[in-house]
Amino acid sequence: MSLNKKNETQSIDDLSDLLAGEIGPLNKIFLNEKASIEMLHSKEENEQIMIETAAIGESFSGKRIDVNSSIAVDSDLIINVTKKISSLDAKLSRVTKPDSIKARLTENQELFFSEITDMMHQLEAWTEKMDSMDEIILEESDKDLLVRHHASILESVRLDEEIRELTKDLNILKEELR
Amino acid sequence: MTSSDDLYGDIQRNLRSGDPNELFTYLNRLRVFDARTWHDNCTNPQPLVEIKDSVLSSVNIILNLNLEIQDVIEGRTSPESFYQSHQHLKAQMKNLGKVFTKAAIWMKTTQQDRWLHQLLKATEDSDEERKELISLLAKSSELNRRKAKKLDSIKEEIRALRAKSRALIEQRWKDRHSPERTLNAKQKEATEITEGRLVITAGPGSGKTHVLVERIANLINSGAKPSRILMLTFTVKATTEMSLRVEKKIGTDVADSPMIMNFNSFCKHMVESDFEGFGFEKMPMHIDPRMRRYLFEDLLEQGIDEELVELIEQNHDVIDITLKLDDLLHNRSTEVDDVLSWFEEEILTPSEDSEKESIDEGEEPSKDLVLKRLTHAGLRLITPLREFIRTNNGLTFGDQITLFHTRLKNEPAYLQNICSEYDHVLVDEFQDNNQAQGEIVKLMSEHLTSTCVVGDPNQAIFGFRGANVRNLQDFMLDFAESGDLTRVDLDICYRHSQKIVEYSEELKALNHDDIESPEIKSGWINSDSTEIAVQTMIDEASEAVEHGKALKRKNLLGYEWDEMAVLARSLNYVSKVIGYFDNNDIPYVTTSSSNLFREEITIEAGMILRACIDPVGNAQAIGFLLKSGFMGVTKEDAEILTRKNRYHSQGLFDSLTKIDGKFANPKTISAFYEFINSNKKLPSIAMEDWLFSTMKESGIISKMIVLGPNSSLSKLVSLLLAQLSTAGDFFRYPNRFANYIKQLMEGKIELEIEQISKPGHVVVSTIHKAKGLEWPIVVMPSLDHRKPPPTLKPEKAERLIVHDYFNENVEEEQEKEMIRIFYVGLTRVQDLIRLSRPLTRSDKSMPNALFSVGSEIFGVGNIETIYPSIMQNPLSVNEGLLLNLRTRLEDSIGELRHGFETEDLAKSVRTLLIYHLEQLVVNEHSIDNELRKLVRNFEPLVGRVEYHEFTGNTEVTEKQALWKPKRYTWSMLDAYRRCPQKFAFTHVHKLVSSNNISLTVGNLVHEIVEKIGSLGKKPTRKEYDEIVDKSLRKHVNKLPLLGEVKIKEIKEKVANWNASERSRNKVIVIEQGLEFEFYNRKFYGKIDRVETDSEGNLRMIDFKTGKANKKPGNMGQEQLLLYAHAWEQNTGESPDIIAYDFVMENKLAEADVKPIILEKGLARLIPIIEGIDANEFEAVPDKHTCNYCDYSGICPDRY
Repeated sequence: MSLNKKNETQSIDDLSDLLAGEIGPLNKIFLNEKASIEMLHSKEENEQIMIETAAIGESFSGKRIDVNSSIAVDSDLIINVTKKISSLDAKLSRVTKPDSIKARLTENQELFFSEITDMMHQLEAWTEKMDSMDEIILEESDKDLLVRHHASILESVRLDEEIRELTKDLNILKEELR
Repeated sequence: MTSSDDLYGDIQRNLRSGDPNELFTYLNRLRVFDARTWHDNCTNPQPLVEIKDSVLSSVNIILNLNLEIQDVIEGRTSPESFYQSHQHLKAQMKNLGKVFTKAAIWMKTTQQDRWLHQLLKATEDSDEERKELISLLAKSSELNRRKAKKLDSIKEEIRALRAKSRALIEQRWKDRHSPERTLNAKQKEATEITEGRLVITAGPGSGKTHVLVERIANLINSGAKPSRILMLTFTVKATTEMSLRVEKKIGTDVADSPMIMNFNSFCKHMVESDFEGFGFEKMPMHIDPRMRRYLFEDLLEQGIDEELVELIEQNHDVIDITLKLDDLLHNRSTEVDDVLSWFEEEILTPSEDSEKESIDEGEEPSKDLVLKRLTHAGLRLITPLREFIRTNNGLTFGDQITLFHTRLKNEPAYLQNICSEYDHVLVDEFQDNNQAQGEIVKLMSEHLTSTCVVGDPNQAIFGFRGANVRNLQDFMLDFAESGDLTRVDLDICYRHSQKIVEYSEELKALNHDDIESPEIKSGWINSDSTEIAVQTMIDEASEAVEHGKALKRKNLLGYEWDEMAVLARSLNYVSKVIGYFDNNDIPYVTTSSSNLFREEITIEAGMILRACIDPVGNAQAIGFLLKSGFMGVTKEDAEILTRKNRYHSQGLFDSLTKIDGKFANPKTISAFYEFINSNKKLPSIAMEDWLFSTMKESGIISKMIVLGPNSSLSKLVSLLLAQLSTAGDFFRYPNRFANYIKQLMEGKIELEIEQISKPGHVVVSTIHKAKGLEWPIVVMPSLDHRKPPPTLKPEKAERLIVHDYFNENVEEEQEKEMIRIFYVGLTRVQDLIRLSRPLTRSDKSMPNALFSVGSEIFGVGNIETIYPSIMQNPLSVNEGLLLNLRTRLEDSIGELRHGFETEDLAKSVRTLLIYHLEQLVVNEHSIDNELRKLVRNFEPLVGRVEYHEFTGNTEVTEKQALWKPKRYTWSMLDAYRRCPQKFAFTHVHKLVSSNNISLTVGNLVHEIVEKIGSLGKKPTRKEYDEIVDKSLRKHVNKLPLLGEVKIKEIKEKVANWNASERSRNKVIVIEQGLEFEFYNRKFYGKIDRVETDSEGNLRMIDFKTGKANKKPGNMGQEQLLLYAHAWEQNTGESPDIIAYDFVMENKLAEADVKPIILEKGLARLIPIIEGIDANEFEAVPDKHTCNYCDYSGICPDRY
């Protein structure tokens, strides 16, 4: 490989590493190594919140996803509460007498007196965690940069796709003419 | 699709003033642009703060509701209030779950933006750091440049290899035949016989056209004058092709060249060139089948035999029967009077006689007799119709041939005169001519030097148009004895290899025909062989994808698109393939008129013209334009207008003038109305002038100019203008022209295209249109045996005559013709044929003959790849809609109630289907057959799916559009009063509602008390126990739903009732069904019990199991008043008392039946009946009712 090509490949690898959040290219950008580590840390934190958010959402539809959570939102609790709430419908559908309603509810008082409240407080705490995520407010020139960059990524995706398709075609032709 | 550069520019322009949200919108657009995963996941961007707010607000609401429930538990509020709090809490929980899911999706979609944003923010203060970041990011364009270069080199390599591959294909073609293209012995013989009658049978690919051209050249070389040679072809297309080839062979001499015409044109020319001799006063006008129908309608308006008019009014089939029989008798060149008198004597009179007695006694005539009467009317109408057309100086297709034939037959001098013009006649595709045409050739052959008829009985596929498959045979039989007949069989096929020849011979053998045909052999001289693939595939979508992929591959390997064809019996069978072609940019050409409407602009143009020409009769078009935002009407306003008039299609136009405050933008609606109203077709304006001015006003013309002459809009406009110029007079009623456009849009008119093929395009065609053509690659999908469509009355009438008068078996002939159609399809191929059948089509039918024979000879390949077309690869518009349907269904699966899953699921599927079908009817112009079949497929699982549809050929009339019950019942009236929309769901759409507990309690109690009542005495303890046990056992499956407590309660209450005095009254009827009339409508009702008490009062009882809070006869409680009316109508006696017996509460609510109460109560039902009759189905949303309504999930107006 010529030196020129090698450099080119290197810088392109740097680009992918940068987007993937690798430390290498960050160290090139930031003169201070600590800044690079902080950047990465904050990126990971954002991703963690995202994963937890998805896991909470899934719990509401009864699916459990194991997440190594830094904030204690208890998936099992959510699953349990939502299950109990919907099963109450069936339990109470046959009950019409006021006393019986009360009796059934008393049987389930744990749900109303502790579980729902716990769950809500956990979720409330979770929203505070979101404060660490920033609103994205950009300068005019930064907007241009971002948009241009995205257009470029998409162009690259499109080219990859086309190359992949045409290589398949090429191989078919080669195969047939062999 | 725009390029990324365009999009980038667009984003740049729009972002200048933008806030961050707009940036996200555009970033999302960019992702949608290419990245599928994003496309699937993206929802609208939702800023962090909004997510937080949503979570916190839901959390607060839930905590408050929770407190309310805690209050119930601790006795601070009444227990009943729990239900509402609970439902509310449940909804909030669900909402909260959705907020989290949405938040996660949003975070995912903005993940990379956030990272870049973080980087940008972190490098804000250091120029050096920022520079480094930008330089790294800029590397991406460098990367892209390199990729683009690589792409170019791959493309170049492919081009070179494809050229090499193509050269191999062409070499293969060349090697199949000897380089000297000389005629074979039989071909030579066929060209050299220049006198007498010659029959040439010519199998597929046997060089027939070549032989005909050579024969003409040979006749000329042997001294015949070119202009005295007459060549008759079957189609205009064949005439053009033959003329070109003859011209090429013998050169052009306009003054003296052979006369080449299609048979119909020849006859028409003969009539026109001597119209007076044919009894016309002036040059007759050509009448096509559509115009003939219009003239028929005019005839009916002008008045004919009153008895016939009455019959037509009773049964519109008479019109189609007449036209069908007119064609039949024309094709056979048979005298109408002969058939009519035979029919009266032999068919109708004996049937009338045999049923006379029973009819006199008041019985309805049998179906058979009704058909015979209709057929008789049709036969009687033919002559007046033909005369009317003649008085209007019209000449139909049928007349062209029959008039010419009759004159040749009856006037020897005329025959002589016509034949004196020619020495030699050649007739191509003789098997496709009708009997009358066959007779013409026979008559002329007596006076000509040579008559040559060419055909292939195995390729006779126009029986449905009256062709006489036996023409060739008859010709041979008629002249064989005289010795003046030579037969030459062209039996060498140069089109394909022996493999296809054997296959087609096997297929042919299925017909066991008495029509003798030669055995064909392949003329390929090398060992090359036509490739045959016989495959089963999962479904029609799989067929489309597999064949589509194979064609793409063949194109890559050097075959051009125009060297491929997809053939089917009907274009309906290949809609999935067309869908695949559309989605994968495979160029194709097809003759379906619906192809003109693949672009939005032509659909809009069609709808504008339909809406303007006759706004009242074209509410569908108005609805479409409103919803498409024409003249700026908002979606919401369009929704209100169209929904309100959903069952009132004709009222839609009028409603545009009645705009009140509930519309968001009334000005646009007024502008819409003004546009339609000012372009309405007025009787004083000529059709063409109207068309021009409407197209100008609506901007169709300017769009047409912009799009250019090859656009489908231009094609549509020129087609409409051509129609008006040839048939202007016949579109004198606006609805006829509107209907013509509608039929075009629905693909019901097959366009006449001279050249079916188009350079660079795959042909998608019916087998009929493909006759005479050939392609290197042919695909024939959907080869399963399909049930023939039900025979309609016109066909039945035709069969009656064909079977009894002409002594032929129509069904058998049709089956044979089907084999011949497959034969024609199969023999179009040269290099490769792909045959397939779907395994999971709606009726899971058997393979058809073509597939069976192929699979026996070559075996079947099973391709089991499933292409989840509905989910990922929408092949057509309708499947796109199904994707939507599926998503909704998945949502509703989450709502299934425990224990009722199957029921709920079935209901959801059905409801969604109905919802979508109706949306399609309102928004689109049709529902395609594939979707219709798909729906029918669901029915065994989910029950009958009924929807309102505008039927194909007829304009929508109020009668057709409005729903009407067969008979009314009290429960209908009651349901309508509660909520007309719910009524529509239950009774109009027939959606099943779920079982609920109170219903079962009601059933059980009713059953027991009625059984006790029907004993007519106080039951013994044993009898009582038996009745109760038997009833409980009957409902054993549902008992667990009630629970032991409830069952015990029921037993107890019924025992109380049994012990009561009132159960001892003397029973007159129990559970009595009554038919009666009220307000001139038929009603039906079931009375629980009628009895007399100890004072002799006649009492009518209805058992109730709910709360004892109602009184019979009150507002909303008219049921027993209605039944009292019914009782009186049936027995002449009015009940004295009506009563509700509240069994569960051991209470009775009674009312005296006074005339005033009866009158007043019944009068309250009239507005309800009127509402049902007018199909006013507006919802009455109410929190409580909607909460417990089974249809709230789909109701557009739920609370």
